[in-house]
Amino acid sequence: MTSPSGAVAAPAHGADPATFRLASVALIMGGFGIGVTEFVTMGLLPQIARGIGVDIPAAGHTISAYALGVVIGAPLLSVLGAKAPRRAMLLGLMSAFAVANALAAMAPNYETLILARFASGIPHGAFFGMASLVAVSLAPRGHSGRAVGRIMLGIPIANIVGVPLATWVGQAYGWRSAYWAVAAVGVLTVVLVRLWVPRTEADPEQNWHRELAAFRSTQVWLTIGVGAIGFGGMFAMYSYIAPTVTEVTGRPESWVPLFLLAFGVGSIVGTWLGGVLADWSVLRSLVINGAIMAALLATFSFTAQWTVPAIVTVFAISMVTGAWVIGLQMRLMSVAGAARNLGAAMNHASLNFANATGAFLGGAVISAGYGYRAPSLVGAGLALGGLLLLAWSVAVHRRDTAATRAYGPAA
Amino acid sequence: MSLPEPVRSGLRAALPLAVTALPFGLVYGVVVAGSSISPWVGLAGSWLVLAGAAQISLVELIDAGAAWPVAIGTALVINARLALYSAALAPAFAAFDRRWRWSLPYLLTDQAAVLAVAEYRHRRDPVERRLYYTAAALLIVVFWWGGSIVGVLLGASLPNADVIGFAVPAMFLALLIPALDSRPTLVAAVSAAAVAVAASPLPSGVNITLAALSGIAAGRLALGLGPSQSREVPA
Repeated sequence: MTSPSGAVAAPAHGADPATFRLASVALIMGGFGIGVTEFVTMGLLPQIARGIGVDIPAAGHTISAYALGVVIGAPLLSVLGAKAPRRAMLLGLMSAFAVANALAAMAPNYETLILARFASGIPHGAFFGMASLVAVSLAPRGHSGRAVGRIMLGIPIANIVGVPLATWVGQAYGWRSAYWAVAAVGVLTVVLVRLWVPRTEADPEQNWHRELAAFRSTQVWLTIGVGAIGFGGMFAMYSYIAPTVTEVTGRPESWVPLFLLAFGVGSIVGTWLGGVLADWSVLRSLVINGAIMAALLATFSFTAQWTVPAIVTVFAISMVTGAWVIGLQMRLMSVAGAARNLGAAMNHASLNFANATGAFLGGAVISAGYGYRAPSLVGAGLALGGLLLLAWSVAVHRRDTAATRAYGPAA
Repeated sequence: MSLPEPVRSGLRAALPLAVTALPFGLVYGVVVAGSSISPWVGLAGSWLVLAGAAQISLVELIDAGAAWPVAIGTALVINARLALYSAALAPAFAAFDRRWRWSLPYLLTDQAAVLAVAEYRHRRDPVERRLYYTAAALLIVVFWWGGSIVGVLLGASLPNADVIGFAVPAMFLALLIPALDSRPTLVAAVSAAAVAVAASPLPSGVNITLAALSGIAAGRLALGLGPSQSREVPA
């Protein structure tokens, strides 16, 4: 272990190390289930389309439906659940998650599948928000950042191990088996949370007026907009990765998990690199990453036809996007000021808005007959759009800093 | 051994990653051998460009008859991630002489960048840091060169798809090796790999599922047996 928690005799803050470790495992398991259900749909898109009897762009709407569930669920449940006891809230969220995934696995037709996927997305943001608060309260003093980072590990682990594995299982035993597996992870998480997460009370000092005040800031809206548009570029490409591999690269379906693995490793390297780059300069790394992301997405529209260049481009896109998300999160937390909680929850909401629009626009150009290379060109356009909003945000930032220097801080 | 300590630890850390650069070099060699490009020109790429992914893209594009600005532009975009690595490495290289600061990035690869940034936090002395990086990066490059030479020589006798299907995932998985920094993670990885291989006769996917489960269980056990870990389990 990297943390010296075993050496701490009686931490003044948080629980004993064994409790903290077991609670972390339970919470990572929940994040893992969420990560698999969010990304396995991309790997199994052709199977879902065939199984439910719709075309690929229509199946892509199930990706958008999940993401819209996150966009609506994250702020709504965060506000409604602010006063609820945290463990009870976690248990409720994960039970709903398991039921919704089981419903998706049983969905008799396209409409019910869309509804079940929408319902699966609703607990996503609130679970991560609640889990972060629990982790911080159990962590030893001075380990809050690392505790939150540890909880978030569920998603990269899902992308490296869970998603390629679930895609493979789904190809062998039908797409429904993948959602059944996720529902099982949800049930397991409920059991583990009940066993290993101590009962904690809600924070009586939660003040939503202060949090909501953040929404009066132009910079907060601009930063949310940068994520909501720019991040859509990656999703426009990645949502249709499975048909792209079979139709453009010309490899059999069994090669799809390989692309998903490259994506997963890219997101791990990118998340780590993003932290290092953010320490260097948040704004500069956001601009450079955004520009590289746009160029890579445009490049993928023709490297997609050769296997190794295609895999490497997917790896590079995922790496740059992963680093970009960290920069965005840091930027959002600094512009949101006192409203850090809502700032972090809104980052989830804006990234999933991007997921919904990216998958939708990518599907729209496929439906229009432009083929499977077109979504990544749309993605390059979205990334450029995000970059333009970022330029606007930097301009506002410069003007405000200049004003502060000339007239002192605004009242 | 008379090698200085930073060189030895650099080589030791880089070896597992370098081993996977060998089959990736093989992929490049096979792609060159199967294209209209002369083997000597292709091999020259391995020390002129020294970036596997960009080289393979260049060869595929030139072979497909793409215009040269398109080919060069694509290689540059794919290699743009190296600019991010160098921004992350800038503080680690800041204390080097100008000749090292300008020459050592020649050896930069994904694997070397991951190792160098990880090591930067532990090693304060710039000379030691330089020796560590040089040894690690050079070992990876030598394996890459070796792989591409063998690939060109064996040429068309290797089936393209099989080589890619093995070498490319191996290289990506190797990037995660620096994360295996504790006994529990190592135990989990080794036992998962062993189960995956042993259970491979089972129907598709089952061996991988078993491997993942046994890896988690073994890692959990190793965590419980660790020297400074408490074994209380609150119910």
